[in-house]
Amino acid sequence: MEMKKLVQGLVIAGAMVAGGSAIAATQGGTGGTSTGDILIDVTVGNQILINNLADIIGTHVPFTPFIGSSPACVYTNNPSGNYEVTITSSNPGAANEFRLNDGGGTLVVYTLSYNDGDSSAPMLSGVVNSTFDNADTTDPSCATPQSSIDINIPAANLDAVGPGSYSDTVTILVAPR
Amino acid sequence: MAVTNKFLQDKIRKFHYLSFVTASLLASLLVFSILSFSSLQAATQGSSGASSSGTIENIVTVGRVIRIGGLRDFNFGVWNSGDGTLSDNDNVCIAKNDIFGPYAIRAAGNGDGFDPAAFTLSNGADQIYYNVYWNDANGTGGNQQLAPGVVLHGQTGGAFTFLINLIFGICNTNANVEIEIPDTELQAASGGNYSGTLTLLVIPD
Repeated sequence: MEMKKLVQGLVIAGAMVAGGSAIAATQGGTGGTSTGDILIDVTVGNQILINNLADIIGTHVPFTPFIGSSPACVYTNNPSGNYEVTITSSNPGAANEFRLNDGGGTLVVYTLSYNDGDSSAPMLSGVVNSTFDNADTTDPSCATPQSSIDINIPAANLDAVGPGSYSDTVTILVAPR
Repeated sequence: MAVTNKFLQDKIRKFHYLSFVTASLLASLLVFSILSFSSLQAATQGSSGASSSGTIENIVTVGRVIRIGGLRDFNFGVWNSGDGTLSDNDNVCIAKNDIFGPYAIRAAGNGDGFDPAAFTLSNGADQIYYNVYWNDANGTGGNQQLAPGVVLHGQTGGAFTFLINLIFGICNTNANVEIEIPDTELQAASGGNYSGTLTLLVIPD
């Protein structure tokens, strides 16, 4: 009778400190050695980065187009290096043109191209272009630019407006594909 | 007066409980001592005569046994840039009959081209590496990093839980395993699902 109580007590004491949990891993058996297995699982989401961008600033020379460029580095953890780009003007035209603004309502249309380091493609404001590749797939910090954003403001467009400062902020959105 | 009586009753109840647990442990130790007993007496041979009798000693040696349990899978979910290093840990249980002796542990992952025990996760094309830490107590405080395939000796822990786990096949946690996937590994990984198996081997030391 006393032994029965002892055993019951031990079982209760053990149950008090034994946590209950769903076990999917492989538990070890009792023996001279014991081996258990744990499954470890993690999903790495798609990552992409654009950096090394620089403002394009200059002075118009009459009768000369203004040509400027910004470097860009794109990193993706997609091994293919493929990605898509959407560039949006702060002053877009009705036909998705990129436009500069002097702040007073005078607008100057310009063209913009994106070069992924392999090839260049003209862009329309807010319109995605899904043809790019050649992104860096090894350096998550993307220290070395391989791409560029190139603008061309025709001489006639600049010659037609009065003196002043004309600017546009473009937003570059890159996404893995 | 009634308060004093209740106080005394509580004390008596606690004393009975502690006596009961202590007696339980001693009883269990006694059982194992008997099982582990081995005699050095040799057999005696019979003498020639009308009848002859001899004796043999049945010697049963109970070897040291050990068990690891309470393991669970580690599912870290989706990692995105900026999430940093991933880390998780689990209290597990060791059961063994050599309750006052140490034990050793060895961990092995899925390996790589150089080390068959390397702690790696794979998406089928690429691998990322992770770290494993072991503690011979609950929680991560004071844990030690394990090298792939290398035995870590001298692990101890609570003798009571070793015994209780073994006798009743339950899991009173008395050790901890921690998995850490460094941010640098995840940053450099291509997108996808990575998985691997970590095998833990425990040995009486």
